[in-house]
Amino acid sequence: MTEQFGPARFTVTLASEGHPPVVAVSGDIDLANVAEFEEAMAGALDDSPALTVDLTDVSYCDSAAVRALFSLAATTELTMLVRPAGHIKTLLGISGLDRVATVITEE
Amino acid sequence: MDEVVSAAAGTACVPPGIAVRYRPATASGLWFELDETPGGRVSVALGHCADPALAARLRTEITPVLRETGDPVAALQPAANARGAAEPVAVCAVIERDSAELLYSSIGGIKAVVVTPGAPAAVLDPPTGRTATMRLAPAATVLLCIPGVVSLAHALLEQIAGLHPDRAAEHAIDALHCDPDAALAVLYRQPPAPMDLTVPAEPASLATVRSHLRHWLAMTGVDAESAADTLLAVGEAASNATEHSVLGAGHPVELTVRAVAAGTVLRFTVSDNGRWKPPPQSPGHRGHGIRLINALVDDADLITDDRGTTVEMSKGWRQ
Repeated sequence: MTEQFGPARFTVTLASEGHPPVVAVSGDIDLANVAEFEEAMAGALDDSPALTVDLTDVSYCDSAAVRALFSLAATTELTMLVRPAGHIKTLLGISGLDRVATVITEE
Repeated sequence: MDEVVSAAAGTACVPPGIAVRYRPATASGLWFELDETPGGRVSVALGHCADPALAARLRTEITPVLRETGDPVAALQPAANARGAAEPVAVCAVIERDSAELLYSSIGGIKAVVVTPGAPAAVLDPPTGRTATMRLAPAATVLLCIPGVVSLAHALLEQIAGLHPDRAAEHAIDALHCDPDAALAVLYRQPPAPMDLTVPAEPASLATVRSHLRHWLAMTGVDAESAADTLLAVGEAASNATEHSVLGAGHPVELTVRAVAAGTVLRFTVSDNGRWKPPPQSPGHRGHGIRLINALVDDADLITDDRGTTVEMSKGWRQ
């Protein structure tokens, strides 16, 4: 079997320390690692009023991540980068996260 | 090499579990027809003829007979009669979804192959005018191709058995070499056996659930969007179970995920044997999860009682 069905490894990195800082996430985000995701975002934010989260390489996320992003959006100007099609865009639309944060679609 | 053209599952004309790839050369004379009756009888006819006019005639003569009679030999009669003219080759297969029975016949020595995970590949090569029959095991793959499976390596066939039908058909067409460069692969995947997975109801188990479900969904051949929707719906239900059911259960809590492919409907059950308590800091969170699940699948039910919580979901094959 050559196809890989296992979850892509979760990584979260500070991609840019500019204004706003950019956090890039890849792999699956779920209840097991959402705390790590939240800590990375809080760490990147520092004192910045805004944060960009690049979700284009996220292979799975559910309402665990949505809750983390909602609570961030309550106090921060949040921008998310997502792919034009796929379940993350669906998730942001159904949850209403796209109404409290900026969503930019990227190829 | 000409562009490879796909007729993937999800388009209106391709029944569930079927993938088609072909590489047309100019006036290649390749043809194929797919059909499914409301009763779940899948008919597949394909062929090739160096004379495109004869190819077109055979297509229009073979297809309706196969659809009406379900008899591959009777349907292939026009191709048998045309032998000697332009050496047409033609293949007819009928698959009954309910009984998993395959009927196969061909003209011009085209063999079919059935690959079952963990078993040797079966080559179907009935004499002209005869039908080969076979009962398909769960997750079996039937590969019909022109110029024929003889040109495919055994290792490739084994690989095909574990791939999504679309990926499998792509592998097959890439491996078919012929002159002129026209090739056709039609692949049917029998639904996999139900998935039944029980894991400890804890967050670390969620990745295991998704890994099993991703593989199972690929084996069904469901399109990428439906697969992503169901992965999220089941993942959400499983996540809720690990998050809330453990509280106050007083015994080790397990999470069970079942997935069944029944005809053209996929059914999922996510259950736990814990006692669910809503988290006080975010009342109505579970309502949010259920709303999300409802938006992703066609039908969802939440049943909570003393023994635990069960979420039942179903999603029809997108057409």
